[in-house]
Amino acid sequence: MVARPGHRFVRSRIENEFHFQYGLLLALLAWPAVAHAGDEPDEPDDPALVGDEPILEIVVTATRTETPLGDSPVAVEVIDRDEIEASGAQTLDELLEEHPGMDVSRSFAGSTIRMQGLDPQQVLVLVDGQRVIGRKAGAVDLSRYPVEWIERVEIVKGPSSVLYGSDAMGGVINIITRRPTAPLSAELYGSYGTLAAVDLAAGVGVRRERVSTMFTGGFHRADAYDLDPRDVATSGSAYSGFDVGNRTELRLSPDWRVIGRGGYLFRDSRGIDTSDGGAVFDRRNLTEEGQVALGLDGWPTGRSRLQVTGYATWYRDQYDSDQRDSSALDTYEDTRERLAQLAVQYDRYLGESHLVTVGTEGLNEWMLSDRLEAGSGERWRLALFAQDEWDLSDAPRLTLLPGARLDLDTQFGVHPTPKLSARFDPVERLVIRASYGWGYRAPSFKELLLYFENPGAGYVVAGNLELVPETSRNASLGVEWEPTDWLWLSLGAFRNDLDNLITTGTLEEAEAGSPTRYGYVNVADAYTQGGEAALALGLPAGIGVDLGYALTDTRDLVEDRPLEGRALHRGTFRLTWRYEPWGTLAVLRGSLVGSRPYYLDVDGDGVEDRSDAEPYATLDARISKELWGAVSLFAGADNLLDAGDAEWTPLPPRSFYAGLTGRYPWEVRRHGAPEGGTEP
Amino acid sequence: MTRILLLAFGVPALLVACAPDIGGHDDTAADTAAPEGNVDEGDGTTTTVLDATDYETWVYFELESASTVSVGDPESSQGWDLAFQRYLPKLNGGVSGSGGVEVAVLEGDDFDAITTAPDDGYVTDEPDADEDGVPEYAMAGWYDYDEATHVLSSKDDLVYVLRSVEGGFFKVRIESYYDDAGTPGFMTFRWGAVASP
Repeated sequence: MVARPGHRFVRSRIENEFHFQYGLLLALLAWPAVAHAGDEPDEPDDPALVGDEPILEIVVTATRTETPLGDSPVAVEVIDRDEIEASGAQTLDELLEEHPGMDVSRSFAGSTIRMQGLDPQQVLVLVDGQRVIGRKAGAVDLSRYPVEWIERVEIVKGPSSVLYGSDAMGGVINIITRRPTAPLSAELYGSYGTLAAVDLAAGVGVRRERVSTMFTGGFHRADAYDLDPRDVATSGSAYSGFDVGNRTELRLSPDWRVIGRGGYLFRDSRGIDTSDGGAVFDRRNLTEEGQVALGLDGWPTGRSRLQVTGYATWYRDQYDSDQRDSSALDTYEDTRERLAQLAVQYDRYLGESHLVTVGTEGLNEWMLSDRLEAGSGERWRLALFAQDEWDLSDAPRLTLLPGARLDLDTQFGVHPTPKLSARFDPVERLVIRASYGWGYRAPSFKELLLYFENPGAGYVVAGNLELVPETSRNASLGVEWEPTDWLWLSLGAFRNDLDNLITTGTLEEAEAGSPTRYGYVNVADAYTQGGEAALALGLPAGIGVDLGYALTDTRDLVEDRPLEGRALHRGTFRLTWRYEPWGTLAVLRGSLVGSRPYYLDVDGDGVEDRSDAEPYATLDARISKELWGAVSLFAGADNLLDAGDAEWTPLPPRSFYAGLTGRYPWEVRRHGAPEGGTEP
Repeated sequence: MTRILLLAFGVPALLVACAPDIGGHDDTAADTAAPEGNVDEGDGTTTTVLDATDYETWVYFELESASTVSVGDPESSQGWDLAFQRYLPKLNGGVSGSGGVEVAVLEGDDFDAITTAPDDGYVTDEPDADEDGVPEYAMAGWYDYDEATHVLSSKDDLVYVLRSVEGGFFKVRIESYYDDAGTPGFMTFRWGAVASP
């Protein structure tokens, strides 16, 4: 079997689908031209498989269709299950903060992420391709998502509004939930550490001919911490929470399947706040999140695929702040959100060189909050999207990926987002990718409908129904080079021009009997630009080295100054050492973050003054040892350098932990079977 | 299989109903204790805390009786000397009242050392001149405002000497805008009688 490279990437994608989900039957029927390629699933020269371990990692986020990672026309970064387990991270934020180019910071809104210098509200977070809700100050708290849920994380930097619509400006983070990897599998995880941190997780999976299902659950708790003992306020909240999740796949026929997914997360966190006026508050936050999705996925013909998915998610955040020795400033807020979505996606191969994807999404969003002027808000959105993955040439490979999406929203009307991506492989092992695309973010309910009065300070903040979406135009260029099997290099550059950014401005000065009115307005413009470099090195004796560097230059064009909180320089590294005879894996990982500007009026003259947060470095270490194959013992330390300060960088202090994992079947875990999609 | 699907969707749906409402907890005794009142400082002065937290009503105070008074018509009443609403102070004089109360604003003077009222320099509340909708209260400059934190801190080198409705003289220094629990709107001031000029 000799296939042109251009052919191979399309076909190997299909083969993976078939090998792992449908068996060979359909491959033989639907792909007579390549049928012999699939005669032996374990054929060593099959690009998809070597032995019983698939060497191709499948990704879905870049194009909404399964693609082997190395064949993707758009750059995707993957943190796989092995890396997740080796990291010792318990939640998504811990996993991402030492990944190149990911800017995780902690605030009252939790652990939030910036990408390419763009704000957390301009980053889209997905679970199995479905958007999550429950943003605080515009940001998704990534510490909501425990790693026991996560099979892998796919990261696409730069705008992806062309496929996913609103919020996908700085990038997309797609959490792919756990999938069973053996006919019967079970795992247990337990660890205990500093701050009385308890992390317990379990998973049970069944993988049979007609059904595969995976249940996961976890419990996590830790005490609060305080980085500034001069006051009683805590820097990080105490929390306890649990989560359950399930993903189940039913094969109706060799070419049709039903996929259901459900999950529930509960978190109770408590902390102490102080006001500048001297009041002390006991704060409690109760958040809950539920997600259910049900999808039908199949192949009406061998060259076309149809996915229909219904998805609903709800989120509730109760915030209670109880003033000590008084009830004058007590506050309680109950915020509820719901989102329901129906999506239809149709992929079809046209001729030898086109893979066309068209789809539609209907979305309903609802929010109930005391802070909204009418108490609640609701809106509808209908989207149409289309893209064509077009292989212009096989040797050298040249692929173009034009796409466009049109969103029709009951609030802001019509909004188009086009994108053109290209991939060029001038020689084998050298990949050049370029793209130009638009991104957008719809105004949030709070920006549209807020009514917040602070008579003490004499102002009102009001929403603005006239808001239009924030927009970005992005140009990216990236090069990946893998000169040998043990060296991988990547270089990238990007530029985002941001318009119509939503910020607060003065709508009306104070007058007789009415306070100053501030409101949200589309006035700010900014740019972010920079580059990233990454290197992965596989050395003899089981040593691996990963290095990453990100340069992020930003400017607020209205204030003429760098955007707040962004470090110009960030570096990450990871060293791993795997010693098979002992079953030992040691990982040392860390990050270096340069100084970051913040703007606060510190002298009370009404003009913001710049303060620069100190650079810092984090260092985490973890070592694990397999005892009898089934059981591993591990110990680790996070934030060994004890970085962090109460004012700008409230990192958890240096902490130590140890624990056990148990696994059935006994053998060492392999990469999970590639499955998935934008389906649940 | 149906059972598996039921488990997958039913279990999370049921759990959602489990989370309790955490609002509306009971107030403790400390929560409801009123911070208002007079404290005798033992040197002839008194520290008074007034609950001026309401955004609409003024709290009226009479110096001679050292007590808050309820006032029907503040503009004609002779029963009050000064009043507060949140951070705004007014005098029973000028545009605010008919009691003829006036104040001398002394900057940089030691509160404890003042035993006699100054001869001159007395002013009272004037009509709105800067068109901010608020009259030009004679004592309006008592605080510094921190734009970043919205905290009002009293200028402790500022002493006001008031001539009351009944003709007595009193020194007044505003101490704080916050009570011990940190609630804004609790106007705290130290004051005592001084000799006539």
